[in-house]
Amino acid sequence: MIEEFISWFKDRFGGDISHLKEFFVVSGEKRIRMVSPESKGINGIIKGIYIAKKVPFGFSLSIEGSQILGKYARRNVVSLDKETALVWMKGEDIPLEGHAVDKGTVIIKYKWIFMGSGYFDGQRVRNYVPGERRLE
Amino acid sequence: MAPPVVLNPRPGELILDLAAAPGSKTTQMSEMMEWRGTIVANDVSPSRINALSSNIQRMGCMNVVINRADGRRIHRIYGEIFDRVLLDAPCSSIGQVRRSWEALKRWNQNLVERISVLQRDLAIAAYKALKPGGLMVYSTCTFDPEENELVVQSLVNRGAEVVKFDIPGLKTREGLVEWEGVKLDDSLAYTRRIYPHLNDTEGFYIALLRKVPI
Repeated sequence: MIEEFISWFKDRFGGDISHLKEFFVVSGEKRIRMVSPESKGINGIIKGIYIAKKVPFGFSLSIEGSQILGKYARRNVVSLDKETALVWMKGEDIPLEGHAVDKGTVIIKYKWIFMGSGYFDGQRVRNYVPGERRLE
Repeated sequence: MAPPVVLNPRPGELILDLAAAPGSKTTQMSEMMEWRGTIVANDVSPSRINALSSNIQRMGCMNVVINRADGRRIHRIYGEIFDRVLLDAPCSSIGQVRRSWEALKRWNQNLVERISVLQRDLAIAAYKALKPGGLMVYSTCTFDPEENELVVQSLVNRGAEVVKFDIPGLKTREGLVEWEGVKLDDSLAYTRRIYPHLNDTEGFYIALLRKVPI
């Protein structure tokens, strides 16, 4: 699944993250985490941080996944203004017009701050910000 | 926070944070290590593990491995493998009175005596998990000697060396070397008491120890 994820990221976002391969580990059936190489052999119940999940249309990125990998993305990144960024962090979907993005996973950012990912269905970006991370 | 500064974990090292939740010191150490090496962040409480996990994720600490175990058994799980160990021990929290009046309401001598037994057992397990030559910080947010110097004395009795240290920019007082007529090891003066009035902070206690190779 790690090779699939690296290949998907290149296809979807135009960025090469293959040099980070040694940090990726598969967790369960669908999740990818980033772990320092030294930590892989250490016993524990949770290792490193969750960065991506396999979904029917490819992968979705967690907020931290977008923050770590977002800088490698060359396309399908949606930059929001401050007002819309706050709406996004409240967990609402974002209508999208005038952005050159393809259907599928998009990375969301405000200025230099990456704010997770969503699914662009051609009209709006469905919000994947988890409930506990949303602004009230 | 001061205990991680005193422990000074380095990139690439193997660190144990024995009573880690909710993880503020764990995340501080992770950044000090530039997200390299490993921190085993242990706690015993499932609900506190949830808070720890959330903070590790939010702060992007990819060099942290979370473990759930009774800290008193930690050396049996991992052996003597850690370069450095932080034990920020559960305590009677009297140093937090400025922030929370509840700490004073909860405080009584029975609590101190009961929790000092747990602290000593945790400290011994933490010390055993160190590599020979490894460094350990024992810290609390309380002032009772039973929870501080007497716990450290129990490690000195097992061969630990108390290491002198300074915390730049922080006024401190020496640890006690005598309590209720009992003489403690002179090296306990190298441990540090940080009283609230000294720096306009909460109060706490920090000791730095080295595991002497046999």
